Amino acid sequence: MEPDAQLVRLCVRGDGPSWEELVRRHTRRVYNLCYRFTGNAATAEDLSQEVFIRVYRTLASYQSTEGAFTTWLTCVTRNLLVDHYRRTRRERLTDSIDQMPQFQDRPSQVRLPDTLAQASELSAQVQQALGKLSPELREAVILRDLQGLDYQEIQVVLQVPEGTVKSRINRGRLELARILEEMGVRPV
Amino acid sequence: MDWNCTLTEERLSDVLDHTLSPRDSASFLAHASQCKRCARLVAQVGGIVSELRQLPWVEEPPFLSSKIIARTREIPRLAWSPAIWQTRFAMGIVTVAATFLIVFHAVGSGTPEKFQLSPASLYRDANRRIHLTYARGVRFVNDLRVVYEIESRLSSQPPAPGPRPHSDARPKPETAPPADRAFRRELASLETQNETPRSIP
Repeated sequence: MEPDAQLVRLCVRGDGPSWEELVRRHTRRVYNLCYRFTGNAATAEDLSQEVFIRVYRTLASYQSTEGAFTTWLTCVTRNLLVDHYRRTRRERLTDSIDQMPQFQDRPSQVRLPDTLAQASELSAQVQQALGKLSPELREAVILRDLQGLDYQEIQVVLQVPEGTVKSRINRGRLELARILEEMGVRPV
Repeated sequence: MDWNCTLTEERLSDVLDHTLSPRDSASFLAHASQCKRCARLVAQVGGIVSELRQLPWVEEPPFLSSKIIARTREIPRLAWSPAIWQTRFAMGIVTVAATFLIVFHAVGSGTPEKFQLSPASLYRDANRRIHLTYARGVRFVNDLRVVYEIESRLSSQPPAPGPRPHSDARPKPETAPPADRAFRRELASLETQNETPRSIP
């Protein structure tokens, strides 16, 4: 049995330490997904907490036979992100371009070595480009290229046919490449 | 297969993920060797995808896990109860319970030992109850019919001549007029007929 599924079983039986282990194991994945989608560290933090609260409440409904826990968790996170996107759509429409959130990568003031600094800069640029994609294309690219899910897993998470998944990933990549080129970012 | 620039854009992900069939792959390579635009596009998008995959994950804020654990501790453990005990199933559970209650009541109230749950006995009980209800209904309608008949006859009766005693509501048989006596006899016969016990199938 998958280690996560074992932890979930223990959690459902009321084992607190298993829940803590599950949270520690997946916090970064959930936070990254939220951060890449929203582009805001504070919002991503709040959403990550909401995701785990929702997971906590619905943990008993997870069936290990239906797929990996990671896929289920990504599905829950994605649904919450969609809810959040719809909730904040009106606010975003009223925002002017000047008031667009400044994408921040790592809220740390520590001086980084060159390679890390380059990676951090690229990460920020990618984040900025992702923010310009439509939500459908953005989530497809994030799930495929940043979260490393395969097509079938993405199909389960997005609940769309495999053809649509492929099409969205394809268009998302092309669009992202175009935006990054406009920003002057070229792959090494 | 003739490959063209549109196909390169449409199937770019297949090219990058190496999911093209050998035949399509050969067609694409043949086209890309001739078309600089397609070769450049594939190299550019492929480079970006490769960098995306190598990007380190963003570090979550410190103590985020601890905050999450602390927040979930406030939620009662009921959240981990089996999926059936969720709010969305409450109405369904109540409906099922009510259905069973009604069925048991119809079959025969009392302790479970008193009634049999075999289909034959269930059918017999249900059949008996249906006939009982029907018989009660028929009797009630007959009673109503008698009452209305009495009422209509009383209202159509002409007032008796002469003064009538006010102290007693029912006139004495000796003083009652002949028409009234005949009516009383008919009424008595109707009441007797109505009180006769009916056979219940």
